[in-house]
Amino acid sequence: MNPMHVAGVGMVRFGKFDATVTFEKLAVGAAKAALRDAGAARSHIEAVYVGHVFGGPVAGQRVATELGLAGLPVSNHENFCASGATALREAWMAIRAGMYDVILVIGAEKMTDRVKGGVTPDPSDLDAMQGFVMTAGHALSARRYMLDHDATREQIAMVAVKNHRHSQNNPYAHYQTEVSLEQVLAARLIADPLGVLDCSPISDGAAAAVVCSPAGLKRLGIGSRRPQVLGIGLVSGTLRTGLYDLNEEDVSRRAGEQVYAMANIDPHDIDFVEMHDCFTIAEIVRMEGLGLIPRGEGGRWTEIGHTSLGGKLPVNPSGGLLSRGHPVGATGMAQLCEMYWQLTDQAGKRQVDGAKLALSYCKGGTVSGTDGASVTTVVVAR
Amino acid sequence: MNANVQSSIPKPPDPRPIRDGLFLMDPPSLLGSTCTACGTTTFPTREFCPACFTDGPHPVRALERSGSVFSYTVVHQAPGGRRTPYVLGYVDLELDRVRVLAQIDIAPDQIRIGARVSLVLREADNVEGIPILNYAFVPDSNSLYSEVLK
Repeated sequence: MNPMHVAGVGMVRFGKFDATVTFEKLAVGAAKAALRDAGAARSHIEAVYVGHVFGGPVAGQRVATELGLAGLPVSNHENFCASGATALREAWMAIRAGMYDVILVIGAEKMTDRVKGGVTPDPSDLDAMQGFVMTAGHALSARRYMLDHDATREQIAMVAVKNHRHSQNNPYAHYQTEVSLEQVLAARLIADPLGVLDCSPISDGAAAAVVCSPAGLKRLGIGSRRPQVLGIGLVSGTLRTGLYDLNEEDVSRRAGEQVYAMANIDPHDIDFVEMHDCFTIAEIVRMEGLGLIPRGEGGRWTEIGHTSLGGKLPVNPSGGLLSRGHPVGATGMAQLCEMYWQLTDQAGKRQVDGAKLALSYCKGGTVSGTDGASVTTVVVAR
Repeated sequence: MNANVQSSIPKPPDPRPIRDGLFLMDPPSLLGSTCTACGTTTFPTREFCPACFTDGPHPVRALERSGSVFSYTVVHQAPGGRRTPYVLGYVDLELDRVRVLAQIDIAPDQIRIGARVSLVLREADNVEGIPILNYAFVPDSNSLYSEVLK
């Protein structure tokens, strides 16, 4: 099967934009930047894969039309917050299968004009009927984590402090200023114990990449090495029964094991992680679920700096969802952009020195009774 | 004449559940299914056992009405016009080994992990005069002063 390389990437800065900055405009901006970065012309692109949640029917075709790419195969991919990474996975499978050699993948979302007060499960979901909101799910997890592992509220809050510190040096981040531990702890409560700075913001944004087979790279005239996607895992959550362990993260464990086997890597060789920190506590329990931090140690690892830039396993050098922002369908592709920049030594002051192997993780949605809806894991090597 | 007047008084409409098959109204109790093969109890009921995947139908029965709070949060911001704050928690029905996500009608500063709570039904909505009932939990008497783990 053909390997897949990343030929070039592009993003627009994440943030809150007015009505003139439409879904299409965001997606077109990111796509043009990726095409430019890869040195790709319209005629090189064979298919367009678009991940989004709130873009509406055939949003991908609207974007392709604006790009002058109408006529190509265009497909839309929805897995809630894992939509961008799911679109990437579909493109990866097509390249592996030998179907295409050059694909444009876009993740995009315009949220600030249509989502107020946080995202929720589908209204028909039994948990949603009980008043479940995403923040509440993570607050239930956080309270249990503190009790079961003697972790502190401060350790959980330090995830936000770290990720905001990292994104000071990310020109594409929604937020580019530090926050203090005191600010996180004193922030307005959303779902106790989590306050507003424990939550990723509602953002607009887009991120894109041109991905290629070796033949595709050649067609673009790229002679030098480009980072290779070694594997992309996708799992869905399973129904839990009995009085289960709330922070077991079986869904993360399965997504990790799937991609480690597929990519044929030892997870200890991973140099940094772009983690789906939609909420502070989520970064901790998901890293543990992946087996990258010992169970119950995530709070302490954060506190002593193991997950900071310069630490033993930097997590979210980009600032993560908490600080880069979280336009849900764009996030998986923004993680790919960060991995590409890091693995090609283009990350500037947030560079993870000598990074050779990176992992990104997205988790999208909830289904009542399960431990999640969709989890993607992407492994990229220099 | 009197009989006519009486018969013209409209009977109050029967309340309806938020979803059929979730609970019994009297006495209020959740309905679970217990797998005929492995004995795992599931709420809400399912056609198959999520633990061993044996296909049903599995016998449906009323679950125990009291349990303990496994974890909780006080929700201060919720979309969709829900009044805040409210307490949301996982309640463990220990004998049936079933965990239920539900609102807990308790003062936010009184909720504790391990608190004993019991099931109630309450009006969640009203559609053209018909009360729509949902389930919730309320603290057992005296439970606020005991069973506190932390």
